[in-house]
Amino acid sequence: MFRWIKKHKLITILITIIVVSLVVLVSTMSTGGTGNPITNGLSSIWSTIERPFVSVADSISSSVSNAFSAGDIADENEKLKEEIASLQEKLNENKLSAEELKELRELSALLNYDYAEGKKIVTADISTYDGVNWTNTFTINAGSASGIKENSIVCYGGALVGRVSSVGENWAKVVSIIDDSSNVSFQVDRDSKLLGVISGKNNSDLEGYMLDGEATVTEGDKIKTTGMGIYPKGIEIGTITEVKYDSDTKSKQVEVEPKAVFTGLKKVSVII
Amino acid sequence: MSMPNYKIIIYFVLALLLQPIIVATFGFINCGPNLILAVSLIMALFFGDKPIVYICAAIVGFLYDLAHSQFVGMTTISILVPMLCCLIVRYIFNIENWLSVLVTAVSGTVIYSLVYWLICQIGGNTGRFLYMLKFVPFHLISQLIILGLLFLLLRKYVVKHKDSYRFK
Repeated sequence: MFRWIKKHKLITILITIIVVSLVVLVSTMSTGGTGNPITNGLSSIWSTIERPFVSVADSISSSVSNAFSAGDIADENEKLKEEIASLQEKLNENKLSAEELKELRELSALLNYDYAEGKKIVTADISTYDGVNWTNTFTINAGSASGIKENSIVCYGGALVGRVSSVGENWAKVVSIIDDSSNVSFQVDRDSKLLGVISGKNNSDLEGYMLDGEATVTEGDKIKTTGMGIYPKGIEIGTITEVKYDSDTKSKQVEVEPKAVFTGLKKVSVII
Repeated sequence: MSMPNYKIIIYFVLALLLQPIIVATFGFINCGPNLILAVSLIMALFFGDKPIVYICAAIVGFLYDLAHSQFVGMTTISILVPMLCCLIVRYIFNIENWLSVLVTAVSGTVIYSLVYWLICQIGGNTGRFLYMLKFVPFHLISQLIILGLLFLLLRKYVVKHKDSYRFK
């Protein structure tokens, strides 16, 4: 046996590496990708080492993006200035008295209107995306030290982005809603009785179906989370772009354009 | 002239550290090259008889998975399988010419994508096969460019034509 190993060093090393990798892979898969204390500890160490390189990556990425959009920036800047001026005017007109504000807050809490009301929000930068282009997972630079837990909800500008799949001390892996493995229950914004389930199409869109085959949904309807499952109620998911009736399953299929723009996403907020 | 082990390690470490920069820079056009895969393939093609190449690839894949992948070990396995195929390319072709690089890039990238997709499927990510295939051509073009550059950098370390086993 030992003589064979000595004679076939390369084959022995290859078999050992493959067996060890398979054992690690199966063990992380069996925990649903959440890892174990050893892998989580190693991840934390590695994230710390990698951080300066990720910062460099961010600045290079920004420079490359800016180089492609330099012409539009001046126009956008002008438009934003005008928008700020008009918003400032509106703000002055719409200033609420302290009492009115308190009243509205009480009402919103009663109706569970605002998903983030009373919850802490942590902002984080996206450190890296997964190495291949067709999976939709990414890593953020905040973790359990900031209060993030597994299945914490990730948003951007009030729009649903995804959920935390595994977490370390200063990092967390996020599975976005456009990933095939994501399933989110939704309600139509204009009529909360119209319910459905949506999942990722594994590109930048979402697809799903209405629970009621006779539901009167139309293109342009906005959809929000229902509060069932891990996603809190009231987070905007996107807009219905196509409605089809499937006569085989007697259900209404919908296609949805997510509100969050996933390409070029740099910062997210995590509800904890 | 063979490449010293420390240089092989340096190439792998650089690939690991530069990969996030490459993903961030090219991610927005959806055709980011995989530097770790490219270095692993070229090393397996040129220095496939050295165990250090496979050990480095496994460690680098493992570290990359720890920080970025859904499951730890998926990059390692996805890289090792095409590296093993490189051993066949190494046996059939003259390794110091462009054709061997072309065959390595095409077979390596396709096998890597298939194995990665398969592991995702087993792990519960039901990504469509055709959707994954759509990205392979972009991925292939970027891998060809990177492998071409690595070939130019490393070919001085490859056994010269007259010393090849075919002419012994």
